[in-house]
Amino acid sequence: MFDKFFGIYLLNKKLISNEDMQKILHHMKSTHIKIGTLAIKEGLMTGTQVEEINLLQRSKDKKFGELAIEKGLINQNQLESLLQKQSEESNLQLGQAAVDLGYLTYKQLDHELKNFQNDAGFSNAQLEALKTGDQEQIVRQFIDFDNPVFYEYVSLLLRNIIRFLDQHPWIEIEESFQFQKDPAEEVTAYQYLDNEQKIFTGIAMDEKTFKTLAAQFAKMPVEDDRLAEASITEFLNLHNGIFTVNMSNQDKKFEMSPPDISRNKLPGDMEVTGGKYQIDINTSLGKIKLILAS
Amino acid sequence: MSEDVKILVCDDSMLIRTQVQNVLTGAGGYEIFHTTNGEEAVKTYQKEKPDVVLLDLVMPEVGGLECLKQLKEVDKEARVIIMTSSGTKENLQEALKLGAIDFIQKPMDEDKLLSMLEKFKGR
Repeated sequence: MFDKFFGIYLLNKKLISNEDMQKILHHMKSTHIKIGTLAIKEGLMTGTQVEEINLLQRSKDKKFGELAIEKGLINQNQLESLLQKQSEESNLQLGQAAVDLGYLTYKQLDHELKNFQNDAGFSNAQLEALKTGDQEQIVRQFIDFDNPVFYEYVSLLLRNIIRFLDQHPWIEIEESFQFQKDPAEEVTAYQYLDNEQKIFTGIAMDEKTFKTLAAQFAKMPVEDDRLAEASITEFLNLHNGIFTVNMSNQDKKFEMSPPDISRNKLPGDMEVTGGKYQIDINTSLGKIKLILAS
Repeated sequence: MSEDVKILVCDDSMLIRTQVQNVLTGAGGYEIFHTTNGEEAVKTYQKEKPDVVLLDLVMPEVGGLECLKQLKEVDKEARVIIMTSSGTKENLQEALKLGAIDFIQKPMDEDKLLSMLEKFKGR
């Protein structure tokens, strides 16, 4: 989780683009954390020193650790400890992938990791939430909803995206999560949940993402538009079904209306009077805009 | 040789209907009828007299619970399995009270669905 939010931090600082982030996430699956990267993380070497050793490696047929010891930058015990950590460490995969793909140098990685850990513009509570990786806390720390059930809604949606669609969803941290405008050139699957207050739930995405996620959820090709629509609405219906059961266990009763599809606009006035929110969730398969209103 | 088990699937989602169709056709031994709403389901039930009904709870107009009630009025022996993603305690209790024989949680586990339906073969 630390990894993912380090990625968001890089995105917010415009050091990488959304496209870069998607490539990084793909690359991460096969990324092996290098000893130099770990040495930076552990404070044993600087980014400049790691880059020097990498340069040396091009002319000498020796391992990174051996050269670092020869240069007196680390000792044998430290190398062994780094090798041990190499097999345990997963927090640095994103940074490693960003370097491997040429989006960052080791020097930049060193600088940005320190910045991120010291002060990334996050409050202590926000940083703590990011470090522990608690989805609900992250949503609570970053988004100011007027309806308290929305916190649980977003956390559950992230878990359901991981369960059914994509291993690496991440929320784009924005200054405001207020709903801005009707999604143009997009497909929106939506469903109303009724209790004392009507809740609008919608997931909007571009046509390409819509088709890709539909096939992923259906676990079959969905060339037929109607089948793609049925797949995405079923995902929303399933998610809302689980949400409704969770709420019912807390004595909050919701009735679900059948889900529907709207193209290039939202349905009517969304039939709500309270706050309207838009949360952009990126996945390696494309962006999902979650729209919540009550 | 025993006859195919007649299954009536009632779900407004084309995805669920397609998935059930694929699983049952793959397994063999089933004749499948599809309906997309409660009203249609009751009419098809009367015409085809299926062995089992797979019924969704959340559907437009005539919802699952109302449809179950009507099916039981038509045939009090009707065997109805509820397919649901929103199995709240109240909904499930209500469905049981109305005479549903079982539930299957969405997304459906293929093996579970087949083992549920297998027992109707050779009846």
